[in-house]
Amino acid sequence: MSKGAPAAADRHPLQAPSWGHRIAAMSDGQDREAAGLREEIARLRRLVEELGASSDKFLAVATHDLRTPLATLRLSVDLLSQPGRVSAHDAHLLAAMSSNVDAMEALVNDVLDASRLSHPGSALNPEEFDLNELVEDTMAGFFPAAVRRELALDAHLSPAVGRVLADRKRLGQALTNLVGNALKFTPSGGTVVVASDGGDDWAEVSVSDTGPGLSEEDKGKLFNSFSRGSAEPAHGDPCTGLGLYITRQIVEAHGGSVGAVGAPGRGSLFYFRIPRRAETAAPEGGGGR
Amino acid sequence: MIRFEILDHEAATVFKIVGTVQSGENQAFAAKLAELAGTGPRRLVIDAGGVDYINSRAVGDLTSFYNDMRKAGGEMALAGLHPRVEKVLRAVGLAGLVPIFPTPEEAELVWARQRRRAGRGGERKQ
Repeated sequence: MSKGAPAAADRHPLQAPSWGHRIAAMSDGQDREAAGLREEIARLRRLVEELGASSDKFLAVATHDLRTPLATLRLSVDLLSQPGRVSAHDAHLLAAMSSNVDAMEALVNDVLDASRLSHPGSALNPEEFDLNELVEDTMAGFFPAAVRRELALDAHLSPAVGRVLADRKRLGQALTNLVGNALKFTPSGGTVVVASDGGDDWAEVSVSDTGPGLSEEDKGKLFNSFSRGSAEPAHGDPCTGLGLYITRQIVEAHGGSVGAVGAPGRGSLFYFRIPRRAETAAPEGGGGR
Repeated sequence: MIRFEILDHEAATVFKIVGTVQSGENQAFAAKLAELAGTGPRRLVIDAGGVDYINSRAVGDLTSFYNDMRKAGGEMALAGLHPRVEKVLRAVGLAGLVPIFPTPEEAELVWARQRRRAGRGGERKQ
């Protein structure tokens, strides 16, 4: 102890402590405070992890428990939909039931996917494949809907896009969300164009449409979970508000990025760009931005 | 730029298409199909060997054209399909309804044989 700094015990209770004592005391206090804060942060982190784990568990159980009765409903609706099983009037009711079962199935699957993908370290299964081929396969799946809705589904695929090392199934899901979204919001008579391009170390796919377009507010929130733009679907399709969020999660898991451009009444364009060889980065955080 | 050619052969009419059928070409494609429908061919081969893509609007027009032709008692075949074109025609179910041949000549050959067989059957009946 220094000579000019009497110990606290030697000091009169009313005597003010010296600056040295004050600084030493402050430093001790700060250390204790910092240690306390570190402990609190660690405790909160554990709590968040536990909550995350129990939320995942809850989602897994809830979606599984929803899937079973939904599968039974789907089977019943399909059986009743066979020709001659119900009257023309009841067929309308059955069609309504069927489309609602579709919507519920889509929601359950989206919630499950969003939950899985938001988990840090959610694994990708990268394989090498031709990205244009995946685009063509995905587009082909949308042809019946595009024909029915009298939409032109065009392809402008560049051979420069070439082969990529990525999770084919997940990337197909991201593409399905983008093309499906464009078909949902583009009124009959409109056009949806899927384009691809690539460079030495990147590949990009974009989906543009002649739909209602995007406001500045829409652009800021569309890729968040349970978020929807201001426009209503043109053909009455259900929207879970998770498709674009899932797309973002998938693309970011590949070390890539997503984006949207457009203006109200002037259509929109959604795109993703991924590294030619996926970095298999874990997606950021669990919630929306 | 899309190009069309209509060739009248003995066994069938061949509708040859070269190019990409998508926005910008849809109107020309639909107009050509309407022109063909007006001539009322009994047997039509669509030679799509030179087509690398066909969009959904053109697929819709082709499906309507096929349905009308069937109703009128005609027959249609597809030939030389690019895998990309076959993929979308399969997706809408058209490729399952319309016979597909590697070349238009093979389609014509099959129809010519059918006609000969039908002719012989007719002779026997007499």
